[in-house]
Amino acid sequence: MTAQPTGVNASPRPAGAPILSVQHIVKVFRNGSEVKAIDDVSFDVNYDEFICIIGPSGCGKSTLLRIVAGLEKADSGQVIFRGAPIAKPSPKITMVFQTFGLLPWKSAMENVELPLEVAGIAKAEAKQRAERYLRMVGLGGFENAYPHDLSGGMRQRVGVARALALGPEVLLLDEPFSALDELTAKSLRVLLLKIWGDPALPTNNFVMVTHNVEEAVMMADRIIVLSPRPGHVVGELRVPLPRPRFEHLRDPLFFQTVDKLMGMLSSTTEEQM
Amino acid sequence: MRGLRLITAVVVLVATYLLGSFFVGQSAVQYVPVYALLSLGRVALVYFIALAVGLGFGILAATSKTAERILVPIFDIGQSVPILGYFPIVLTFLIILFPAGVGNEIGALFLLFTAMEWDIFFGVVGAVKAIPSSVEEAARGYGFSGTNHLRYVVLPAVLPALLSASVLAWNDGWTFDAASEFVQFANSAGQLTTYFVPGLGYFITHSLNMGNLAASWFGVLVMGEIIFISNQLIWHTLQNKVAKHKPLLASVIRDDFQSPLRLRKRFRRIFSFRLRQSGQEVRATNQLSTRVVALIFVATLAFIGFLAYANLPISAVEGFVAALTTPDGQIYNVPLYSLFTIGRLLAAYLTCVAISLLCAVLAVTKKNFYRYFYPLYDLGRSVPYLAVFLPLFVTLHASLPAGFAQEIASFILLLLAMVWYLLFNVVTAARALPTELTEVSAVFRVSGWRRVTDIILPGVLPAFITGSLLAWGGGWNVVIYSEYVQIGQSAPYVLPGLGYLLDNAAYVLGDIPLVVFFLFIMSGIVILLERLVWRRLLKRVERFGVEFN
Repeated sequence: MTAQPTGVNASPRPAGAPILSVQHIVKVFRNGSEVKAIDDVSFDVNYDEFICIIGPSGCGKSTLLRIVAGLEKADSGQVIFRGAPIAKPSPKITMVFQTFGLLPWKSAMENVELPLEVAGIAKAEAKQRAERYLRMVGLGGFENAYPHDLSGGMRQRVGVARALALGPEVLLLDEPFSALDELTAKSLRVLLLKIWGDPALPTNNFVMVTHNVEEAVMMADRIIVLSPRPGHVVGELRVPLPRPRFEHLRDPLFFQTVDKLMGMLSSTTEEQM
Repeated sequence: MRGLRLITAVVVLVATYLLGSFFVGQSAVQYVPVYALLSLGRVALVYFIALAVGLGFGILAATSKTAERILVPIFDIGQSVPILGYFPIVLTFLIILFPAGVGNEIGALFLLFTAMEWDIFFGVVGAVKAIPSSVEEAARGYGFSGTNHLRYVVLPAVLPALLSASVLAWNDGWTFDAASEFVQFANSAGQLTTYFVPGLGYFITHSLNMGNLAASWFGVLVMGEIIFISNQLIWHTLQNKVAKHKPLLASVIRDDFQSPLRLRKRFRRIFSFRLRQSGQEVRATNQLSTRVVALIFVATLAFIGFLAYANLPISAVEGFVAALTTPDGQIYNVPLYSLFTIGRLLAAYLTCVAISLLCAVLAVTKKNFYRYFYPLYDLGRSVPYLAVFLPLFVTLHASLPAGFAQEIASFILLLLAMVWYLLFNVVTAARALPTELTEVSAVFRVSGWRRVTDIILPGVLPAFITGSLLAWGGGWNVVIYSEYVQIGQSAPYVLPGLGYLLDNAAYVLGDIPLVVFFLFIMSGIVILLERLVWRRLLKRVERFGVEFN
């Protein structure tokens, strides 16, 4: 549909195979009683695709993302990344958190450096790389600021820099803008789309969880719609808008897509508007 | 469920008594149930007084700026000055003032009151101040005022903090029960005058004086059982009831699938941690008036001392200046002895630090940690350490030289007095670390030692410092008790230290100005350490703390 750039140092791509394949995931929480959170969810993420997972609160979308990240284990089903099942977190798949997940006792710089040092990258190079990524997200000059000195938007920029600095192939985003005000969220959406489309970066596959319909339509190539708990896929929507999307936000096609997505969502819940 | 626990408790107590009759001797332990009831009555009575005072003045201080400026410093000083240090002065004064028996009963109640009041007061102030302004505005908007406001907004908001504070107060009350029920003064000829009120604390010390070590330990056991049982039957039940309708702190628990019971436990722990912190904040804002009240407090104490001094029945007094300069006054030893006492506290403190940091790491890394931790914590917290000290010393002294035995007993006493504050704060903080941080360390594969130094330890640091501050406060209080031991008619066993100087001045010399002088020095060190070390550190790290809600 849209011509996606490839990363300069991207690994080889087996023809026809998706980079990430979520297959028949079932997740049950047991704590005295059993609560089924996810019921047989399957979808693929193709190379260079921006995927949004949308669904009402409690549909298990964040849990699903955590299973993809290797943070949680599925009760059955598996996630295949480049042909192999994911069992534990990998530096090839990183995550941006809803409430940023920054270490308050570390400066912006140190927050970005920590995963690099842990991954065995020499201190000097880690420093250089952290600086480069902080500049990229627009935080040049704020390297030594601590999270409590930064605004919410700036904190999330640190979170993005940290997730990208490892050079992952898949970036998972767990409602990354829901703790921010709308204006700040807008500028961060633009930043993320720019990063996703940047051919100089190896990170070209984004999987984002959201409950914001307009946001999903603005950002995704394809939207996976989940039902309320237990979450299962009720449908899939390919967004027909050309990119860059922020030039088409007044387009009738944008509103039609939003309406269509709203329709798919409200067909799954009792709380219709 | 509750009935079953009640029956179990009764069975345990009866079995303990029967075993005691069999092994320790029927005649030695026959009055223990009566003593236990008397102590229980004393602690319960003082608890209700402390509750009324704490609620009344606490709500007043939290709602009126003027009241806050007066009350908070008064209570702050009250809790900064080591209770056991000024107890002899108060007791002497009361004995002079009231007929025999009444004076020392009031003295015992007063000591318990000072052991129990501060937690309750600061808990209430912190909780009232923590009522969200939106709730206050809504209440005002709907025309709540006066009793309605108190009944439907303030009291429900205060309840969880009040319960957490009550647990602490109740345990502290029992701990100090041992020290409050038996006091011996010596006169210049070495003759002892004993003041006691009947109760378990009296039984424990009196049995030792009679040379019956087994009976003394038996008293400690009964006291520990009563503390443990009352915690389980009263406080835990009440806390579980209250935690059910607490909407606060919901965002801390990000896992929707936790069982209600675990959620409740979490609320409880987190809430009491915050209570301590907010109390600290309240205190920190009142520094200037604290100084003024400190002056008034010292002046009052000196005045009481002077009154007592004029009528002192128990000692030949040679005058303040003379006492200071005589070898008995030991004024020259103050700097060195202060260092000894600080060293004793430091040794116990460092051990506590090691234990609590280890537990913090285990709390984060081991899933099963809490299953073992909380029962052990409840059990350990039930040990009435002041009551343990004397029989422990006598037991150790049977095979060790006196000085050595006293050092070890003192170390264990200090450890037991200090470790809970640190453990509680640090483990609660480790537990309350946002799950997001755990996920961050997993996603970015921060593990092993790196995880300890970069994530866990910095995460619990503010709680660690708050806990340290409280631990040192608790430590100073009991170090006085451990450096001077009087058993039977023999000469007292002493360890060189500030506590010894104080006790010697109080119980042997009967020189109240000298007591006030040492008390002044000790409080000075306490306040100096608090202001220069702990508060400063806390201010520094608070900015880097995890936001809990």
